[in-house]
Amino acid sequence: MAVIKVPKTPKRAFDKNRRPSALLLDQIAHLEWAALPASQRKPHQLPKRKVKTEAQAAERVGQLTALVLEAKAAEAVELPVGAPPVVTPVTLPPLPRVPPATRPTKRRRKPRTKAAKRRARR
Amino acid sequence: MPPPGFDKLKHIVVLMMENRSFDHMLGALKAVDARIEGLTGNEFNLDTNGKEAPVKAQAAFQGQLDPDPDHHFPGVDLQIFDGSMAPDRIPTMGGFVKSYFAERRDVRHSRLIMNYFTPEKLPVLTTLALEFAVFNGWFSSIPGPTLCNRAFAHYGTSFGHVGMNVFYPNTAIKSIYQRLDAAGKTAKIYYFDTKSSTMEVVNLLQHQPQFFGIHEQFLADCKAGQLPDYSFIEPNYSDHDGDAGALLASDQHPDHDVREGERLIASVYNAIKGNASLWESTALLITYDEHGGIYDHVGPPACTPDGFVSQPADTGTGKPFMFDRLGVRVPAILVSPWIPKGTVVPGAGAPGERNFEHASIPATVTSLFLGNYDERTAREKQAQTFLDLLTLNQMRVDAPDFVLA
Repeated sequence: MAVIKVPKTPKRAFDKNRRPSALLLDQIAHLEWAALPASQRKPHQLPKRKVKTEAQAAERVGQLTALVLEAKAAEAVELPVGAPPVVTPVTLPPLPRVPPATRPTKRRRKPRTKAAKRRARR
Repeated sequence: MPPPGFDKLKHIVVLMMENRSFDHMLGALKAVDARIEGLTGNEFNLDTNGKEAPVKAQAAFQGQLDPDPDHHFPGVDLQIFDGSMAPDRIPTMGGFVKSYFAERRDVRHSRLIMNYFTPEKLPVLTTLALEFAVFNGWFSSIPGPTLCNRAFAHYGTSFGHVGMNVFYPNTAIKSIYQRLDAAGKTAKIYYFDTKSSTMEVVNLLQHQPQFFGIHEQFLADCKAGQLPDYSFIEPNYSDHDGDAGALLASDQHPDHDVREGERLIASVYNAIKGNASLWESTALLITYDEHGGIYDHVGPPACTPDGFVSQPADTGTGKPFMFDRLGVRVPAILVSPWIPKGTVVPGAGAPGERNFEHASIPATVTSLFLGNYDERTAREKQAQTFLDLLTLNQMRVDAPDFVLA
């Protein structure tokens, strides 16, 4: 039975400031569509928001997913028999602000001393 | 009498990754096993200067495919037919470099679309391909982007869409989850976490949230032996912060690091294999939604139309699309201890060819759990199913183990 080691992905691969792909922007548009009641939807005019980074896209996706799930949960609350369904207008929350991630700063090299230069030459 | 592995089968798990072609990920395996329809090393496209751009074993984990290669319908049409609009055109697979050139207008950069990985760079995917069943002919359902292709995995159709707006006006065709639920079976879509969420099936999230869970729950369900009859796993689609720190995207969509996807595949395999009773009763399919604009040498074959037509305004090619041809080939691997080591399923053009596509997923799940079920497209009814690959009379005990560093 073979045992295969799967290495860690290097930390430098993580870049939450990366420009979001068209796929992520479409996912957001779809979730915004789903978060709105039918009367507020414009099927051929998907909402477009200015999402600038992958981290911001992820926050928005999380925000909208929660909203969609909450709306369904609220719908499940029993209404009195014969009462018409209540459609509450939904205002989408503003885009979450995501502070730009700071890339790890490069360590400054200490200025070489004369002694260090001498050792390097040897 | 069906073989014992099929008899014991209780669960199907599908893990669908993002945007990589067969040749890009598995093409190098031809040198290891000549039956695998990979690359000889002589394949090339012409670049915009008319010079040959050959395939090269120089794919990088990250940083090479930025900007994202075009994989919308007109772009993929160019990749497959190299700009020919003739009625009798044949898929030459000669337009990938030209298509990628349009993204950055940089000839040198456009040639990177021909790069592929060597097996040692993808130890998880290539090991599983060599150990279990690899499909030489698994194609994306549409020569187009993510959402319409993922729709085929969930519904067996994209309801006439070839792009990213899929809004299900047709409710006569139920998703595989709804079909199973109505028959008293269980099904779940496990997305990675709330910030990654689900792709394409937001309508299900909206109306039937009981079908959804997160990746941690999948791992817990495997451990507890509580996996539903059918599970569909979505990777993490973005780099973002989680409760425990940085979470790397694991979908392998360019320009996400491919290694994190390898780790995801290994973790799903380990979770199933870690529970002995689950391991013997589960078939795991690993596949990719579409090729992401990356080179593959096999021309997509014709297929049974699904009854819809996409109009020229939607295809962007000036021509309608009748859903009568498949998209570009993607990696697909079926894992089960009941599959003989080194199974290669012949694809387009080979003797005994069997061509699969994403409609094969609901077709297989439906045939296993529901039997005869009529309310689905002709396309799905005609799609190949894959459980006949579990042919062994005795369960294998030599399956590999992955250790995540």
